[in-house]
Amino acid sequence: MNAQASSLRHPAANRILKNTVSSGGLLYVGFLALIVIFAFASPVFLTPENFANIGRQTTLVSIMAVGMAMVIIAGEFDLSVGSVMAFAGVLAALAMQRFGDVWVIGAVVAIAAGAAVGLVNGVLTTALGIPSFLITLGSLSIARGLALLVTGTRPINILDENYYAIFGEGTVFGVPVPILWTVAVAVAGIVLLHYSTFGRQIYATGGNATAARYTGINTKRVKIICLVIAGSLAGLATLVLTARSHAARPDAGAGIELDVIASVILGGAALSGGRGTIIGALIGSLMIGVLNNGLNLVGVDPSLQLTVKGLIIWFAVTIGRRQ
Amino acid sequence: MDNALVMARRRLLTAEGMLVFAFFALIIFFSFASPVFFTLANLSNIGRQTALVSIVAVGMTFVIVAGEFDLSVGSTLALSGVVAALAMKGIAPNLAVGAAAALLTGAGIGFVNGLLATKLRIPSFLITLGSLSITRGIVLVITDTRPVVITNATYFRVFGEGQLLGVPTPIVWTIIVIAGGIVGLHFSSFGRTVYAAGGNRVAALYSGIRVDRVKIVALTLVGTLAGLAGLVLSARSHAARPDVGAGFELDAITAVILGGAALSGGRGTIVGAVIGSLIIGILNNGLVLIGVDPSLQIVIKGLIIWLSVSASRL
Repeated sequence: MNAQASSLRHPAANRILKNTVSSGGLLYVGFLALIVIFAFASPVFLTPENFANIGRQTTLVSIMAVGMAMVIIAGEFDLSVGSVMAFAGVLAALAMQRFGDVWVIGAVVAIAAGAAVGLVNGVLTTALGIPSFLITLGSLSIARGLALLVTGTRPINILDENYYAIFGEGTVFGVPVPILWTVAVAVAGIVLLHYSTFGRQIYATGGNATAARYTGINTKRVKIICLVIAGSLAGLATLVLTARSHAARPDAGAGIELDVIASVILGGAALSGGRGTIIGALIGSLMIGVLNNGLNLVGVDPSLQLTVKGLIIWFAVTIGRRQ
Repeated sequence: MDNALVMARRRLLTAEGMLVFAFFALIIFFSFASPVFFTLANLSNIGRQTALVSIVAVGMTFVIVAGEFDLSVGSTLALSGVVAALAMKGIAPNLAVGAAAALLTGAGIGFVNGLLATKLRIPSFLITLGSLSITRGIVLVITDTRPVVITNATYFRVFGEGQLLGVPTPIVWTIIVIAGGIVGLHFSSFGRTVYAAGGNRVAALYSGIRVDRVKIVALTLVGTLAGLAGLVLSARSHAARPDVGAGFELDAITAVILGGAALSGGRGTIVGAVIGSLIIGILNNGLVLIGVDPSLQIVIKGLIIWLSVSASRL
């Protein structure tokens, strides 16, 4: 009785604990093992500068993995995030070119554009009852084509210094802003998914949509909101990317959706929905980042790096799922 | 047998029927829009252009219907072609050596995928994501990132450039694979176990179906067909390039899902997947013929994916 009461009081905390132990726990061991191996193999690996590097290199995937985790837990899929990055980025750069070089304009346009694509994805998926895999495959094409059309396939320069500082190149207390954005998104994601009513509705929707509907959850609305969040975060990711390169390229982000989805699944989420955590997704993203960074530092041949990366994915998921 | 026929017919009347409708609508539209589109030469072009996706989509249908996923087919295609080329260089410049090497390579990768996914209980999405990377790395390492030239003229003819009764051999291979796939999935007891394994795993287990074995066979099959696709591609270009097939998996999966298969398994047909592959091919071909701007082509392709799936699910 007592135990039941306490588990009712902290269902989110319990769920995190359970997920960590059952599906992700050993993955964290694998992650730490990787860090230890690279720390011994390369003298540069375990320095603050290199960790800041890894943080910056994984920013885009980590930010989008937070949104993707919610989408996948809700039982849906978003293949369009890479194209949305390009689309939102060029719209932001064009808006700043037209209406004045102020970072706020760029930020609002990019995030709004991302949210809009997410809304279209969500409405089409839920209203027509079509798998989001197909709907977002369509938007992958449409958003990419629009980005290429409006730019004439050329990059658009961004001139606002504040924009660079706020999203790409500045530091706060010595921490690069891309990492701060990642942390902010991660914290917001954890609160929303693990400590809010809406978060529990996401798990319910993806775990058993029929049961969720009978408990009065508007599953369609939940799915739409998740896809809107994923789109908005793709918009935020593009701000970081374009601020770093001082330009918005219409070919940005091609293929990044597979990295984002891989991070979430590597972090213990189920493709069929209902299971997964934000922390898991972030560890998944960091793991891929640590691998890319460490294999370079150790000086592994780029071709062989691919093979080693694949083997480590096998290894990581194997120990991650063993109980 | 009767049951399979009834099931196939019912499916044709609903989702697939609408997809077929979308397919013909596209053909009619492009026939009016371009004088070149509906000529034998161009239709044969489309057949050749879609051969690789169609061949692999047949295997992918088995995999997706069985409730699994294969992201590694693009890398498998590249490795199979390269191994075939190297075997013909190292062992004997013989068609049979190349063919056997490619098919065995593909089957081997598929078998490992299946074994790991089923015995370790790990989603095949992750296992094959690993093999995508591993296989591509192996291809790049053994070729040192350079293409391997093939010189056997019979090889070119049998897999890439020859004709059989006027039909280009890539199309002949596609038709053989489709026919084999239809028989295997819709008219054999193995095919019914594939649907059962993907539709309801627990029920399948209780009715004595060896679900793991079914899934391993399905993944081995798609690997073998990726090997065949590697043969066709390398025969066409007279060389095996280590960078071919990147992103190919998405085309094959799209064809299958467009053709009415469910990502969660238990539903889908070979004919649907082939129509899905042809719709993508007709779009690529037709939009170029009527001179649409390449950027706009990408937008239109996306819109038509939306439109055809909407039509087929109404």
